Order: sequence, then C-alpha cells, then structure tokens
Amino acid sequence: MVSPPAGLSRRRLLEAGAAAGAALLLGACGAEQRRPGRAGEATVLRSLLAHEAAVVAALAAAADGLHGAEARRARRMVAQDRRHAAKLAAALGAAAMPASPPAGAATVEVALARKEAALAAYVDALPRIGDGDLRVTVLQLAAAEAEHLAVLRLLLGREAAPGAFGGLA
Amino acid sequence: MWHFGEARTDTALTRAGLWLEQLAVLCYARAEESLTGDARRLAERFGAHERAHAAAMESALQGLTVRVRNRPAGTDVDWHLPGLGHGDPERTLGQLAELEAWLLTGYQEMARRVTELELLRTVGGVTAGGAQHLVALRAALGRPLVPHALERGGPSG
Repeated sequence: MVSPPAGLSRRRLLEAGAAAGAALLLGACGAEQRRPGRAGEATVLRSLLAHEAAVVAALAAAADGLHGAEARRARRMVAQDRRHAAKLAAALGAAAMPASPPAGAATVEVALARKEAALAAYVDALPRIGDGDLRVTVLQLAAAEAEHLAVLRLLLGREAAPGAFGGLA
Repeated sequence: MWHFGEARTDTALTRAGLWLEQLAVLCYARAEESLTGDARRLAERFGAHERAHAAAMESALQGLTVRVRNRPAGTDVDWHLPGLGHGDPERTLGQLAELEAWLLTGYQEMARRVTELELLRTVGGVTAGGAQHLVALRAALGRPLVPHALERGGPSG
C-alpha cells in the first residue's frame, strides 16, 4: 500500500521551524527531552522499507516501457533503490526487502507518485530517529530520493526542481 | 562544512544554516548577472528557492527566540566561491553545484548533532530542494544526474 505524500507545504515547514524552537525552549526550562526509542525507530525503518519496495516495483515496471538512455537511467535508479532498501534492511537487522505491491500501470507517472510518497516519508521520519548516525543515513537517502524525483520529472519533460522544498506540497 | 562543524548548540547549528542559505541567495544573484538564457532563468528561480530556504531557517531561529546576528556580504561570496560570475557559464554553474553539494554535507552534519529533532523537518525539506537543484545543475553541465545511491554531497557534487 502506498501512503499519500505527507503534505509538507512551505507553510508547514515554516511552522515546524517555529514549533521546534518552542519545544527547545520548554526543554531548557527543565523538562527532560524525550528521545525516540529503538522500537520506534524500527517502526519508522520498516515503513521506509515498504516505501522503497513500492518504488522499486513501480520504477522497474516503468523502465521496461522506456528505451535507450531513458531506460538505462531508470534502471540505474532501480539499482540505487535496491541499495537503499538493503541499507534500511541492514539497519533493521532484516534479511530482505518486503514483497513489492503491484505496480499497476507501468508508467513513469506511477513511479513519480510513489517517489513523492517516499520522499515525504523520509522527511517525516527524520525527527523520529534518535541515533545520530542513522539520521544522517536517512537524510542521505532522502536527498537521493529527491534527486530521483527530479530525474523522473525530466523524463516527463517537466522542470527538475519546481519548488523550493523538493515538491513536498 | 566548517560552519556546521564549529557549531556546538542547536542555536548555532540553525544560525549556520541560515547564514549559508543567505550566502546561497547572494551566490545565485552574483551568478545571474553573468549568465544568459536558460542558465540565467535557472539561477533566478533557484535564487528564489534559496530565499525560501533562508526564510524557513530564520523562522526556526526565531522559534528558538534567538535573533539573527550576522548576514553574509559580497566578500563572503568571493571567499567561498572565488571568481564566481567572472568565468564562463560552465564554470559558474559548476561552482553553484559545488555550493549545493557542500550545503547537503553541512545539513547532514547538523542532522547528526542536533538535539531538538523537530528542526529536522525544516532541514529535510531544504535538503530535498537542494538535492533537486543539484540534479538541474548537473543536467545543465552534462554530468551524471544521480551518480551515487546515497547523496553525501561534498566533493562528489
């Protein structure tokens, strides 16, 4: 099942910045800051892994409908997405990626929609990960997903970067 | 990026992010003056995005009830990207790609060390925008669009 994009609009990002500051202020007033626990992190990682599986299924199917350099570009992204899944699985101590959901119509549009959902999930995951090194990995994966989104837009004849925040709106 | 490396608190990390986004605004404005056609339009658009990134960082900083202290100036552009706007378009776009890549590395350092994790929603959105700038700049330069499975930024940009 593919989750819809989290709807991180520019306004929400601005509000998030202000809310973060308020939370920090409260923390400084004596309340102990709660760090996400390992169990919570595992839930987040499993969700990201499911997004990667959905993306791989859609992008591999879309690549089959492309030709030449476009097909090679799409297949390269599929290979990178498999590495993303392997990275997440390793962090979870899991052996493999979960079963991929059906891709439906094998189009770049479907792959684009799943990439948007994955990117939103990565950004939403960041504050829910307590381990600093794991946060860096998740941010690197988010950046790669944002880049893939840009490439898919170029394949569709659109602008690579239409918005300031990666198109999270 | 040393700006983040020297920061010891969430406030200092956010200040570093804001300062660098303001620097990026100045860099795109400088680049815009020397570019023409599609490259100029790209610099104009991305300069506007950088202003939005700076606004997001400033909002986060104000949420910490901290005021903006220093703003970058033209000399900071010269120091960080020497000769920007004085070379051919390829060199100018290459320097902008370098800046975007180092910003991504800097935000990864911030993600590792920040204690108020809600700040990372802002960082994540800004990173997503910067990564897509990088793809557009690589496309304009004829470079591989996504050379690595994990985007670490830095010299790989």
